[in-house]
Amino acid sequence: MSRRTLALAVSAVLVFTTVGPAFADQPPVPPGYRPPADSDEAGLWMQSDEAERRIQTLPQLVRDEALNAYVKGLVCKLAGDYCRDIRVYILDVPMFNASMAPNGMLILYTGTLLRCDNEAQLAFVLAHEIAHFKKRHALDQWRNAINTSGAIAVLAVVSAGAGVFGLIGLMAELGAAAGFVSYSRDQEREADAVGFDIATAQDYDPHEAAALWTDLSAEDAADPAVRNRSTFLSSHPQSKERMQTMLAKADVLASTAKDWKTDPDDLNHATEPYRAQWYAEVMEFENSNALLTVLNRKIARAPHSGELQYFLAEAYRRRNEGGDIEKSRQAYQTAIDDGNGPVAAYKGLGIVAMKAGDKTAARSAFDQYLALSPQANDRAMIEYYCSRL
Amino acid sequence: MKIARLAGICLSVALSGCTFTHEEKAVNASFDFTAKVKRVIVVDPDVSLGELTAGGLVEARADWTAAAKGFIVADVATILAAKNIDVVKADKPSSDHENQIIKLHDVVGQEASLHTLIRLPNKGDAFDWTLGPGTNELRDQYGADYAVFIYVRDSYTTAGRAAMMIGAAMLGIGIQGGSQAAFISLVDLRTGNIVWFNRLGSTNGDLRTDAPARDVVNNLLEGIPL
Repeated sequence: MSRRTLALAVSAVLVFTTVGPAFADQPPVPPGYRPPADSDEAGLWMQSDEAERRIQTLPQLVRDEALNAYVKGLVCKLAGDYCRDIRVYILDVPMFNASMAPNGMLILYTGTLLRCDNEAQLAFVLAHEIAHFKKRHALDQWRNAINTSGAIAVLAVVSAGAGVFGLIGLMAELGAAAGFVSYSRDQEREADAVGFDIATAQDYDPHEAAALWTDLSAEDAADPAVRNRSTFLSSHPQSKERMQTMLAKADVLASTAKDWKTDPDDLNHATEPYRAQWYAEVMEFENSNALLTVLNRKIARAPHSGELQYFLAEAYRRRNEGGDIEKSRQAYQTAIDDGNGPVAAYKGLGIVAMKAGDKTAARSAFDQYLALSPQANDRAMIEYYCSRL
Repeated sequence: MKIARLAGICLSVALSGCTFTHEEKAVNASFDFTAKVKRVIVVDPDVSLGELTAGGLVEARADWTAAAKGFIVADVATILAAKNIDVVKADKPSSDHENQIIKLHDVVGQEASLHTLIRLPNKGDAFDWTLGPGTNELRDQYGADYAVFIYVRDSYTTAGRAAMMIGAAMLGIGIQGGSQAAFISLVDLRTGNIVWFNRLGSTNGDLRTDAPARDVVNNLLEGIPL
């Protein structure tokens, strides 16, 4: 399954593409709001509730209490009185995405948690989604759709992809559920602005919002195959435009004397048990150039992370273009030298040395791998490699 | 092509209304209850009612849906109770697993419905759809050998849409109004097999109010071999 096919499937499940007039501005919802039972809004909520029941049974739902508590805690800090109205679902999907359904169901992909460099960046993503909920953007979009259905394309959501590849089916479900209505660009701009205020009110460094969009644009640019890498980005104003807007706002705000925070440690701690798994998933799923962009950026911020060096090495080894094997070897070595890389770095080092024809180095690395990880489930394979050296 | 013709008739008389049902029975269906009490679960029905707007979008209505669900469960329970069946209303799915079985039934039932319309070429004539033995968990939990699953999608024409239909009809163009699509499965929880299935299509039923809702449920349950 190529990523392009997936991207097409993702865009196909976005139910509406609006060309209609500007939306009518709804008053924000008060905390604890439930729409009147006979309203169109109640219908939207009912469908979202139904989708939410479905999401609760998804195998991709991350049920880990500590991670959920961390994200929910951050949502509550940002949402204030709306804390109880918003329910967070973390889904194990290696893309960058977050979405808000009309009923307050907030979906966050693990790909977002992995890409955010610190809590401040995650806060800007979550605050953006909270803004959609507060401003009832889904309702506006729905009413627009009703009034301008001549100008909209309504696509039936089919579950045909479900059997083909788990993710396609999942995307279709989420498209039908969370992305039920895709927000207009004006709404996205408003959510950006409102979200920016929400996050900066909690002292999150305004420059991190711009940094996030810069990073996402760089990741996009590194992968020519897919321009619209996620539903989040495809429906949102261009990363470049957002980046500039955010930067301008950040420059104004940052000049005020305040103790802005980025808080990388809490996010790091919360995602620690999962990062190896998430990187492995991104590696399976994403373009190597895009992944290398993410890793190199993270390494620039944390040069002595053995974990990051290890995944950098893995990414180079998989891309395997001119000079990549040597770069991979260096990165495995750095991961080991920094003292905090995973044991698998020895295995990687052995494989790239083997490829380069350096039998002595390969044998030494494989020996160390097996010595440090005697129960490794690929032991037989490594022993086979050694026998061939 | 009998069904296609029926559908065509329905379309042409869309303004006046039309109802048809189609019943299927599993090949080797036999009904045996292991317990002395004949107990059947009425699983939380998957129901959605909405308004068909002028532009052709269906706007979901939470109030109508809640009312319809209530009528359906009550009417099914009454009909089954009259057949000396001990009815368990499972209005709230008790577990993720139960939820998944309901969703699975939605998908299998839609395929089975399609099959009754166009006869999927490789499926053959045998009616042998199943939800699989995962249904055993429900059997253990509720102490029942059979369960009834119901799926309903129902839309009603708004004034705007009706005006459009009449205008278009004057020009000789048929525009579809609100319509009802529903199916019901009787499932043997020991095997998960759908032992009896009925599909209903209608352009004039009404699930929003008590008496007409009872007519719809009567049509849907007609011929249930219990």
